[in-house]
Parts: sequence; C-alpha cells; structure tokens
Amino acid sequence: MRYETPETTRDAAALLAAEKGEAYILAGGTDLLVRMKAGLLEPDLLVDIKQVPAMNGIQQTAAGFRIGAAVPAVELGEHRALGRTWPGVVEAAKLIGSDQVQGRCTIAGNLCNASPAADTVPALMAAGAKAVVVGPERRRTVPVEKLPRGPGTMALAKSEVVEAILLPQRPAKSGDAYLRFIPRTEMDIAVVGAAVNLTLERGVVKTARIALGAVAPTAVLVPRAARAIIGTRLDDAALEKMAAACSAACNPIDDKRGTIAYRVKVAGVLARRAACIAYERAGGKR
Amino acid sequence: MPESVVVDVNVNGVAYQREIEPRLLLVEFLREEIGLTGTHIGCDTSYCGACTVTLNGRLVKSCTCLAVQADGGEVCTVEGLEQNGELHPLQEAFSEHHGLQCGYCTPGMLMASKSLLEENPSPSREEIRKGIAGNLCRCTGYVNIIKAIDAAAVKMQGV
Amino acid sequence: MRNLPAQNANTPGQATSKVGAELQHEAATLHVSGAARYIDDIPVPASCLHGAVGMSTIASGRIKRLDLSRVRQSPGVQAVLTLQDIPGHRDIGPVFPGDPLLLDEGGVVQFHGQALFAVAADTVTEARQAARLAEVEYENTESNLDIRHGLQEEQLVRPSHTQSRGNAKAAIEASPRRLHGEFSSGGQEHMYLEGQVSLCIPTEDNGMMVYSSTQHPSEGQKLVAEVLGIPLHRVTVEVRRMGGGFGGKETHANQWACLAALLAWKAGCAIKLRLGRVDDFVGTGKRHPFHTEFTVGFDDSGLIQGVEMDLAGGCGYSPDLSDAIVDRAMFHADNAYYLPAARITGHRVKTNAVSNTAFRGFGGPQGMLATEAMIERIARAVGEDSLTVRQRNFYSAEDGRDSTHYGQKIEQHIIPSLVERLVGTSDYWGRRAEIQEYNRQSPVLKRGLALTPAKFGISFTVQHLNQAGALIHIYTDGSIQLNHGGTEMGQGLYTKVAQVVAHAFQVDIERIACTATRTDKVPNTSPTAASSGSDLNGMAALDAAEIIKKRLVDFAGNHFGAEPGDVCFIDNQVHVGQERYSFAEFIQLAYMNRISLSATGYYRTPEIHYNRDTASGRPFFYFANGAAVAEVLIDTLTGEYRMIRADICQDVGESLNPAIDIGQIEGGFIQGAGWLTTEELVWGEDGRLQTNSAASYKIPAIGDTPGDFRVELLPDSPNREATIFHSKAVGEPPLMLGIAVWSALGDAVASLSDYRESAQLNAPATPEQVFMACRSMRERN
Repeated sequence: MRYETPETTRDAAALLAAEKGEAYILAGGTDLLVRMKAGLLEPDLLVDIKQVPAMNGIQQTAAGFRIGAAVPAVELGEHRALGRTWPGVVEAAKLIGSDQVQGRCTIAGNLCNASPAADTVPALMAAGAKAVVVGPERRRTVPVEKLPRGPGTMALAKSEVVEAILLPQRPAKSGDAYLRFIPRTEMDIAVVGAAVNLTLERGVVKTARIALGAVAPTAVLVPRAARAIIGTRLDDAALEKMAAACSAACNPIDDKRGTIAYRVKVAGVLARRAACIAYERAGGKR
Repeated sequence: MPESVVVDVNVNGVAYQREIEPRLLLVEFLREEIGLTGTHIGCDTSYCGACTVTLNGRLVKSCTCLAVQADGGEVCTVEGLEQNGELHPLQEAFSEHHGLQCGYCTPGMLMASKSLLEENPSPSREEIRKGIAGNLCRCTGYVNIIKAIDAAAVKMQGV
Repeated sequence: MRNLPAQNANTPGQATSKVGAELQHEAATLHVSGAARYIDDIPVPASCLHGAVGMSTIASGRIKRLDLSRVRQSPGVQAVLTLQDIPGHRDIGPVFPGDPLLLDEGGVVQFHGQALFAVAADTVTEARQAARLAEVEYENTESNLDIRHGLQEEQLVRPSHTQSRGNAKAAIEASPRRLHGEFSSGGQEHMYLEGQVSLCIPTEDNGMMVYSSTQHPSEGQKLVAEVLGIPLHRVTVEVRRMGGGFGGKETHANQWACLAALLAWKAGCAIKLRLGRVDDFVGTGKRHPFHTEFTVGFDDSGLIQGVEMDLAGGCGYSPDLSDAIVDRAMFHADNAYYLPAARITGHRVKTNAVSNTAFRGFGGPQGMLATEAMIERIARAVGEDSLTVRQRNFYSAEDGRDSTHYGQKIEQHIIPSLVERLVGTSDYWGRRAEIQEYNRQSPVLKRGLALTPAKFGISFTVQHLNQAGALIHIYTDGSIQLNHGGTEMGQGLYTKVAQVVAHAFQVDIERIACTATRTDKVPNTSPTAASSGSDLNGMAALDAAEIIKKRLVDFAGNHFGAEPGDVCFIDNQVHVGQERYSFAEFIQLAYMNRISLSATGYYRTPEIHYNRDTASGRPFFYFANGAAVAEVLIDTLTGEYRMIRADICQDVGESLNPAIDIGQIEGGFIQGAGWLTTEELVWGEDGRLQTNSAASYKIPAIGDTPGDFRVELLPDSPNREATIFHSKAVGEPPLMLGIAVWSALGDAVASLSDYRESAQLNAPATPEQVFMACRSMRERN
C-alpha cells in the first residue's frame, strides 16, 4: 500500500486518477481504518488530505461558511459563528462517535462514506449545503443531496475529491435542529435521524427543508414534509401532517439496529420534535 | 513488498524516528515499535476507548489512526503521565478510589480524564460523565471512576 | 544461604492491612501507570510468530472441499495447521465431547464462525489476511437458531432434568387463580475489554509454556497436553491477570490456547494468538438465551400455590457447560420465593450457534428472571404492587415455608428484613405515590419503579470443583510470597487473599507479594468461577498460613520453652512471652534453626451434596442475598429510556474488603442491567452473528448508568457458615439485581393501562421493544 500526502486538491485528484488499483482518500480515517482492519477493503493507495491548505480551516464568507474537507468535527463545535448560525449542523457533527473520534473525523468523510445513517448528512441536506468537488480537469459545486447514491456509493468520479462543504448565509429568524434515535446514550449509529431547517416571517414558517437519515438507502430530503409546515405556525395539525409525510417517505430496511415498523414510526416523532426545536431557535413561540 | 515511510513522532517528550509500513496503526506503533504497551487494544473499532492517547493535544483512539498521521506530531500516552517519578493526581485518585478493576480500560480512561481536566479543571459530575463518554468500562459500572476524577480535580485545584 | 539479608529497621507499628480494610487493588499502581502486563504485553522471543484462525461462513453443513493453497502462499505465512496435523486429541469438550478443535474436508460445520484451520505468520495483519483466503465449498444443511423449534424437534445437547415437589399440577388446578405465560431472555456477550489471547513458547523438553488469558489454567493445561499428546507435567499455564473474564474465559479460552500451542509445536517457535474482536464475538460462547413457559396457581392475594415451569436454554451446538448452567437456572427458579408445589424442568436445546457458556450468574439470572416476570404478571392480575406480592411469597421460618423445591432448607431468612430495610432507605412507597402522580400528568414521558430481590446459591453445583490449593513461602527477609489457584480478572481476588494472609500473620500487606497463577505452583485447580474465588482460595491460603504459623509456634516452644499460648503474632512482630521480635528477625531465627518456611494449603467446602437422581440435596453451602430498587424514565413515543436512580442493599457477610465488594456490586448491577436493556445479540437467517463488534453490540456506556446510584452493604450480617472470616461471595450475585431495571421498564409501560395490565416485554428490553410494548398497551387500553 502506498501513502501520499499531496499539497493541493488537484494533486490529490491526479493521484486518484493515476492509480490503477484501489485508491482512497484518508481524511480522519475513523471509518476507513475500521473497514481496512475488518478486511472489507485493501487499498493500494491512501491519499492523506491533511496537508492540503484548501481543505483545512473554516472560513466565514459573505456567502456563508466554507468548511475544509480535512477539518475535524471538533472544530465545528469550537467555531462560535458557525454554531450560532447552524446549530443543527454542529449538533449533528458533535454526535459522531465520541470526543476521541470527533478529534479526527470530518463531515466531508461522513458524507463520502455514503452511509445512510451518517448523522451530519441529513443536517447538511436540510441546511442546503453544497460540496465543492474537484477533479483533475474541473471543479464543480454540487448540492449535498445530489451526492449519495446508495449505501457506500457516491455520485463522484473515481478521480474526484470533495474539497470543502459550503453552508449558506441565512436570514435572521432562522433555525435548524437535528435529532437522532440511538439505543444507547452515546457512541452509537443512528437508527433514525431527522433534521429540520426553517425560516420564519412574523412567526409563520416561510421556508423549510426537512431531511431524514437511516430510513432509506441514502439520507433523503422530504419536500412534502416541508410543505406541510410552510405557511403555518407549527400548529399540531401541521406537525401531524409533517410527521405523516416523514413516515411516508421512509423506505428503510430491517436490520440489527431496528425494524421497519419502528423506524417509520419514530422518524415522524423525531421530525416533529426537531421542527419544534428549530422553530424555537428561529425565535418562534408555539 | 509494501512501501515503507519514515515517520518522526514525539512520544511523551522523546523523539522517535522509525521506518514503518504506511498501514501501521498508531497503537501498533506505540506498542510494537517503541515498546509502550500501556496503551491497550480493546475493540478494534474505535468504540471502547482503551487505546485513547492524545495527538497534538487532542484525544484520539489510536486503533483508528495511522502512525503516519502522527508524523511530525506529539503523542502522549499513559506512560507519560508520571512526572519525575511522581504519579499524576489522576493516577493516584484512580488507585485510591478504586476507579479500576481489571484495569484494561484504565489507561484510556486516564487520558480522557486528563484531557477533560485540562479543559475544565473543576467539572460537575454531569460534565465528568460527558468527558469520558467515549470510554467503555465493563467492570466498574463507572461509579468509582467518576469519584476518582472528581477527587483528582479537587486535589489539583488545591495545589 | 550463607548470609542472611539485612533486616530493615523494623517499625513495629500497627498492621493496617487486615481483613475488612478498604485496601486498593493490589496492582492499582501498575494499572494506572500502564505497567501492568496482560498477555499481549509480555515481551516475546525474537522468533515469535502470530496466529489467526480461519472460520466457517455457514451455520450448518458438510465441508466438501477445503483448499488452503492461497492461505499457504499468502505473504508472511510460516505455518498452517489443519485437523490432520493434530498429534493428540481433536476434541476439547470440557465436560462432554462435542467441541472439535478444527474441521477438515468431510467435517460437519455446526455454527457460523466455527474454526476450520489456523495459520501462523510474521505479523498479526498477515496472519489475519491469510486466514481469510481459504477456498471452502460446503454442502449446506438446514440450520436452526430457534430454541422453541429445537425443543419441539427434541434437539438437545444433554437430557432434560426435572426437580419437583408435591403435585404441582394438582396444586395449580386447585388454586383460585391461574396464569399461563411465556417469557424469553436473550444471550449476552461478555465483551471483556481484553479479548481472548494466548502466547505459547515451546520448551526444551518438547513441552509448552502457555501464557493464556484464562479463568481455568488447569483445564487449559490438560487440554494443551492432550492435543499435543504429552503428559500434563510438560505443560505449564500461567496467567497473572485478565482484562475481564465474566465467565467468558472459563472454557472458551481453551481453544485459542490449544491452537497457539499446536502452531508453536508445528512451527517450532513462539506463537501469539490474539483474536480480533469480530472473531472473538463470533467464535466464543455467550450467556445462554432462554425460553420459558410457566403455569402458576395462586390465591387472590397473589400467594403462589403451585408452579410448573419449563426452562429451555439455547446451548448452541455443543454441551460445553450447559448441563450445569441449565441446572443452575432450575436451582434459581424459586429466586426468593417459597413454591409449595413445583415442577421445574430444564431443557438443554441444541442450536446452530456458537456453544454458549458460563457468564456471571451461570444460568441463575435466567431462571430468576423468568420467575420475576411471572411474579409481575401475578401482581397485575391481583391488582397489587409487585413489591407486595413479592414480600408475600418470600421464604420464611413460619409454617414450614423454608425449603426449596430441591429440598435445601433456607436456614437464614435475610431477604425479608433486607428488603424491608431497602424499602425504607430508598423511600419506595413515597416514590411510588409520587411516580403515579407524575404519570397521571405526563402523557408522553412515564416513570417506572421496581424492587427485585436476588437469593443466589454459593458453591459449584459440580461437587468436586469445590476445592482449592495455595502455596506460601516466607523468605529470610520476612517477605511473603503467596500463590493460589484463583485467577485475577479484576475482581480483586489477589487483594482479598493477600489480606487474609496478612491477617493471619498480622503483618502489613506490603510484605506480601501475590504471584501469577501457575499450574506448576498450585496444581489441579478449579476455575475461578461460581463466585467462589475468595471462599475457596482464601481458605486454602489461610490453611497454608496456619501450617507455617504452627511450625513457628512449635519452634518457639522448643527454642524458648514457651507455651503455645505465649506466642502471638501482632503488629508486624512476634511476641514470645515478654520478648518481642520483629517478624523478619523471628523468621531468620526460625530459618537458622531449620524450620520449613514454605507450605501448601488446601480446602474443600464441607456439607454440600446434590443427588441428580432424586433431584434433591444441599447443593449450596449458603446463599448470598440482595435487593435493588430501580427507577426509570421512558419516552413512550420512541421507546428511549434513562435509568434515573438505583438503590441496592447486598448481603456480603463480614466483608473482606468493603470497597472491593461495593465495586463488584456496582459493576455487576450495571452489567445485569446491560444484559436486560441495550445488549442485544442479533443473528441473521444465515446464522451469522450480525452484532459482531462493539459498534453494533451495545454494552452500557457511562450515560446509560443512573445519575443517582446508592449502594449499601447489609450491616451486621456475618455469614453463619464457617466461610473465610464469615464473608460471603460477591462476584455474581449483584448481576441479578439488574432485573430491577427490567421490571421498572415494565412498570413504566404498565402505567399506560393504569397498572391493570402487565407489559409485554421480553428481555432485552431494547428501546424498540419498549416502544412496541407501549404501542400494544395503548392499543389495548
């Protein structure tokens, strides 16, 4: 196995493009190394992106926030402005693994693993986040929800690398929240996750995005659920309708973590609770 | 033959240079290359925390970190807690307050606790619970571990 | 020796390290400094290779072809071991045959993860990579993982056994009320943080030095000798400590020690075999899952008149220890309750799973849990608080309600008063009222409360295991080396036994070094199991100490003309009449006068017996008693829950070391609670264990433990039996107190029916199970 530490994103992409065998990007490595040890993959090349300046650091810009792909999750929690603007995204990042894991793992890695249960992906989708994708030839910006295709597969070419995650700037009276259900109190993988992001105008939901995790082959946006609360003050009837839309959007599997019946039911409950938190964070009073 | 790389890692204040295979884990580097066996391999999957060390001041589970990722970095392990032949107050407190039974999780618990107390010198019990949430213990039920951390914090504040 | 060691200026001072002192763990300083060596930390010889095991990928079938050529060609591979290579025994069944060490072409696979071959390579990674490269063709046959189905088909690893008293059927039929029910409890993975590991080094005489993380070195020694085809005296097994055992290293350490020894023999060099965690999960046995059916007759107050119970344990593919484990489930089907008429039958069902094995409680928890589930249902049926029904059914000295369904008389009635005490200290009734009020006001979140007792029989139910040996040497500087047959797995056994010896000689604990458990120091030992560690080894060590003390007293008599009564050991000194000698001084004097300063001690538990033909006797020397109150909060819309508070009172007799005992109680309770809540084992239809790592199998993390946790040792309760300083065993009993958490969850669910109905809750009560129980309760009410 070769190990490379390129200094630009383009070099990283070029290394991936040139490798004939199996090549993987190493960000935090918290997932990749577990799979390597289990014998699930045997890379011929690891491309460590920690030395790439463009992939490090969180920048606040006029357009919002740019989070480098190599930024460990813990740094999201330490970034005050980010935490104020996107508390739901940050709380999702702070749920990954444990302190020790958050010191290494990245939200770009969380996205690129393409696990349906990844905690940050629904939060990013709800937030309207985009990924900066760099290949040897071109660079493109893609909405996060367009990237995961199914468990373990991404809509990325072999030589493409995610360089950063972009979170938009947002108006006042906005709020987001992420809730997940796990059987244990910590260090667990979501059985169901729900993210809600909304903006209010005089207490009425003006825009909303709702995403669910672990209930389908990929995390999913649920526009019907969002429509159910837009134009409301999040009254019980709207919440009921939203929860029903969430449950209807579920297409989960029965597995060791939870049954279909359970996941479908709990998805609605969690979305409902996340919506209430987001509403409160946006300054709404129910 | 797998390629090898040269890494420079400072462990507990001592500089080590080794030629290693890139897939060598940090925990293997510590245990096999430089003979520090206090860092234990527990679950292999970053859940149990027995292999917790600090890398550049941040807690990591050394079973899911490559040694090459520590290149140029500073690592602190349980063996680095003792200073000038004196046990760290946390080490004393874990002994005195029965914060260990089989002892296998202890080095990782100590590293997580040390990091907690560096960030928060007088944590509440709830903060202690959060601080070691990434470390599993199968023996104690955690009660005496909390007591030990609490006692060490009090002692360190008093000094 | 020519010159005796200089004596340290002896400070007589009071010896503080006595029995009953809260001394810290003997290796605490080593543990906190990272210096404590587990097997994987022992420096290995330069030529040491690493082992790995190739395992089956089906649950049931015949091996048509086993092609290991790719394994042999894999980088770093130095040796491959197959069934045909084994020079001696090929079956390592600990009690009954049925555990093949490896399988070859034509062999029958009986579970997913069964060992087929082993490989040695230069590095751990190379060995593990090679072990995955076997090409195996199977002829699949139908597999079964379901206990009920296995029982129906009479697929048993051992014959069923029944204990009965009176005519249970008639008693039930004559009862005013009757209930029939079923209950199932899941297995439990030990999840010792140090996985299975052994290091084997060939010796010059074709023997083997084995370092094994094992609770039963003597059995490891026997099996290694047998598979190598050499006498036992050529094999030595050593274990200084384990990183947790919990029963999982009683018989299930053997296979890996045997394979490492065979690889070492074949490769002619040292071999270390440490199982990766996934291999450990799939390849080693767990707590037995049980399915229980019962019919119970009772009166309007909930007083039990008669019980018929069929306890079926899922044993996996082979007998292992299942006979004794299912027996223990039967012995504990009464828990703390008098069963006037009873028919208790235990079935040992064969399934296509790894062979299930010892786990803290050894079947006892499963039997007790089924009975507690039954009591819960009786209480709801008669509309009483379950505590009241429990109390009504306790054993008591009155009206002859004091003998078990297997004929052992309960001589000490500790539970009723212990429970009464706990009801007071935990404010059970005050909180009961408060919780009912809370639940009336709170539509989504519900609180639950329960008190459950546990009476646990102490002794191995296999009589001959109730023996132990110890070895004490006193050196000429007055330092004492202690060795015994018990193993240290974190429970503090070495500390307690050292305290016993310090007490016997009235010296400081620092004077005593407890050395690693080794089969060449103390032979033919029993496993460290059945909570018996301190009871057996403490007594054996005391015996050895008393033998040496008697020699010293006799010597004083001869040398000084002192009467035996004039010689006493006190505060690091030996007093002979008015003369005072430091301990070391006196020892040197004895040495110079040619007194032997080394002795072996021995102990066997008196009075115990059980006749399996009549299913009666006195299998237990005594009972350890305890009770717990647990309070939980559940979210009825998601099934999530928190343990809010736990109160425990445990009877440990005169504690040898209260701090260690409290640690055992806290840890045991949480481990029991884990078994009944988040620790769920899930198998796929292909027989593959899906929860095969710490990522998917969830032992309690710190946040799963109660924020408010109060533990008390029952005061003034010396063991009436002549146990070591009248203490009681504490290793397993507290695990069963975790049942209170399961009962409290059921209580919270039952609040949805205003406590009229019992929750339909099996174990483990995972959040999903709690959610489903809430949903079905809501639908019915």
